[in-house]
Parts: sequence; C-alpha cells; structure tokens
Amino acid sequence: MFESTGLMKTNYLLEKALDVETLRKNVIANNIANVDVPHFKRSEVNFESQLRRVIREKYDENNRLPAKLTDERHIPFYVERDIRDVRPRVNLDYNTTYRNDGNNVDIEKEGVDASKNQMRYNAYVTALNQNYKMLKTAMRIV
Amino acid sequence: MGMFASFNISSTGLTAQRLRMDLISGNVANATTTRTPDGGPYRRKRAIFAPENIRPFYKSPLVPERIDHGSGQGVRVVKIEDDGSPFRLMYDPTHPDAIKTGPKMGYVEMPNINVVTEMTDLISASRSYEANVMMVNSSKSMYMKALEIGRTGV
Repeated sequence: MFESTGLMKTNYLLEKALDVETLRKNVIANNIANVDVPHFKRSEVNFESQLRRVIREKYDENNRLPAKLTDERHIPFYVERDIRDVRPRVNLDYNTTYRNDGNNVDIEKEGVDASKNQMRYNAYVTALNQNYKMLKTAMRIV
Repeated sequence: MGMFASFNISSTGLTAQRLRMDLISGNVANATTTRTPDGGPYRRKRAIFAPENIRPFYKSPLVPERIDHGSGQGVRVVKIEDDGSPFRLMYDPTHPDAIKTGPKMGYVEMPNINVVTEMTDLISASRSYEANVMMVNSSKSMYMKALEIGRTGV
C-alpha cells in the first residue's frame, strides 16, 4: 500500500541496516571466539560505504565516473543501481598481523566494535519505531 | 545460521577456553607426577584450536554469491596434544622412580611442566573467556532491543 512512499523506503533501509548489524555481531563474535587460534585472520562487514557510494552516484552526477560515448550502443560506466541491491560483504583482513602467532584479532578493537554495533542497533530500532508512528499518523489524517 | 547464531558462536569460544582452563588445572595438579599408566612421568597437555567451518570463497566478481565467506561459526578444538618437550631432571637417588643405571643414575624424570607458563596461560584463557561472556551479554541486549520493534506506544 505504501511501497512507493518515502516512509516505506526508510522502513526498508532500516530493516536492511538491522540485518547488517546482526551479521556484524556474528562476525565480531566469531573474531573473538577465535582470538587464540594461530594464523586466524579477522573479518569485517562492509555495507555502509557501498550504500553511500550507490546513493551518491544516484543523486549527484559529479560523483559518477564520466565515460565519453560516441555511439548509442556503448555501455556507460555508470549503471543505475537500486539501493535494495546493495548487499553486505564479509571481508577477510588477510594482510595484517597483530601478534607473533600470525593472529590479527585485537580484542580491544573487537570489544569497541561490539558496543558500537549495539548502539547502532538500538538507534535503528528507535528510528524504525518512530517511522511506524509516522505511518500511523499519516493513516489517521483522513 | 539461525536467529541465535551469535550466541552459538560465542558459546564455542566459551567451551574452548573452558577446556583450556581444565587442561591447565590438570597440568598444575600433575606438576610432580612421576608415574602414569603409559609409563614415565606425566606429559604436559595442551589444546589445539582451529576456526570452525569457514566456507570456501573466491576473490572474483564472477561468482558474486561466493565472494565472501560468511561470518564463520566459531572455534573448534581439533585435538588435545601432548607436549613433546624433554622432561625436567631432578637429583634424588632415594626416589622409587629414580633412574637405576646409566649416566643419569640417581636422577628422577619430572613432568615437563613449568608452573609459571601454566599461570600465564591461565590468565590468557580467563581473559578470552571474559571476552566471550561480554559478547554473549552484548548479543542478549541486542535481541532484547529487537523485541521492542513495533511497540510504538499510542
């Protein structure tokens, strides 16, 4: 019913963000569980920077990589992407080393990441509830 | 990977660190054991860990669904290994397990356990255990917050 409205887009993005934070929590838990494994390399989730790039390219032409097209059949560099197609990616941090045993899990960093992750999750839940409230208000106008 | 994946991952970490602490207690308790069923003095035991079940992945955009390896599923104890380092020798000819002949006559082979090493390992294990507990608590409060979704009041 509201699919095309801004409220539903917000809703979608917030849902996606909650999913990403859950994945991030799993990745951090996995890093911490493997803190004593020699040669283990930590992973991290990449989502926000991809989303930012898609949004920037979409709304600002200056951020697109320009391509000179001399024929209509040429493929432009910029392909419009739906923000719904942006997916979180788990990247392995394979070229750093933190300790002598080849492991690169920094327990303090993971701890701080875990609390950041939790704060963001709380913020998203609050924003989502606020969004539901606005939807409710919108339905009550008529 | 269900809803409680992060709990399961942290619990593998808790189990592994707990096992490590158990082995350390065993080592300290047996620091002077000179007789074992296998013969000879007690050997120091230690746990070998490995990451659990990481999915194979490729660094190629041609297989987009395989470009990352997922979050992983925690840690696994591969085996409990005997430390092969040489035994400590202590001179005590009156000991019933003292070596009777040869150039080492009168010496007793003691377990290859250094209590200081065990204590530092114990600190490391208990700190890692705490880190995993912290993760469990953090996941718990996150899921509690998730229960508030849709509870908008009014």
